[in-house]
Amino acid sequence: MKSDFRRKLAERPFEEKIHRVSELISLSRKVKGNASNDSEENSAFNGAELSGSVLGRDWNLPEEDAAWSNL
Amino acid sequence: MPYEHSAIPLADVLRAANDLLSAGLIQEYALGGALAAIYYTEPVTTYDADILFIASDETLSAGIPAIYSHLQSKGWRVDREHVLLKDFPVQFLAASGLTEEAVRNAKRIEYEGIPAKVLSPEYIIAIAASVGRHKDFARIEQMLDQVKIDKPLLDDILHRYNLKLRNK
Repeated sequence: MKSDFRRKLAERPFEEKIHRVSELISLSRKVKGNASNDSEENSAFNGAELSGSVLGRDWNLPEEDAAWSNL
Repeated sequence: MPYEHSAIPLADVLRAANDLLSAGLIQEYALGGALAAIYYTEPVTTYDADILFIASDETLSAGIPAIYSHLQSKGWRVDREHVLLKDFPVQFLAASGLTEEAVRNAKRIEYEGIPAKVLSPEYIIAIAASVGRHKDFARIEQMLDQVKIDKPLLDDILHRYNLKLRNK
């Protein structure tokens, strides 16, 4: 991910950033809860491995900009 | 705008820390660790919160038993070194030396209307350098790339605590 885009993410309000991390934690818990076995694929999914690029992919959508523009 | 049902109940954590202040169990506190870094940088995943505190009672293992007892009386659960709030682990860490200086010089913020303090970026970098794990140096790189740093202040802290930014 380009540094300038990451810097833009850094400038978002703290509450917004915490909320986004919370969403990822919730998603991680949900996936782990739904996993009926400990397959290699499931065990490889770890919220801690969710990278900045994943965050950036969501935040980079035009719909996201519109949705958060009033905050 | 408050975010309800958040997996990171940070507002509740900060309220609890303020409650410890009001109860006289701690002198000062500041948000540290990854959550403090996120205040300044892009969001990154983390699974706990670190609260650095300066204890009022410096005996009894820096007041930790009294703090945990107080939190348990408020419904928090204790799980080894963490206390759990809504299943979110929070670690209360007694500050000393560099971390105590960091707490005393922390930045005042408001989170969802709750007054709190967060470590300043220069101290986050210095503490990361002192811990020195791979992820700490990654955090330093991230901070230096994304955050406006007071370089003279950072250099002063690093010099006084004999720290280096690179693990070489």
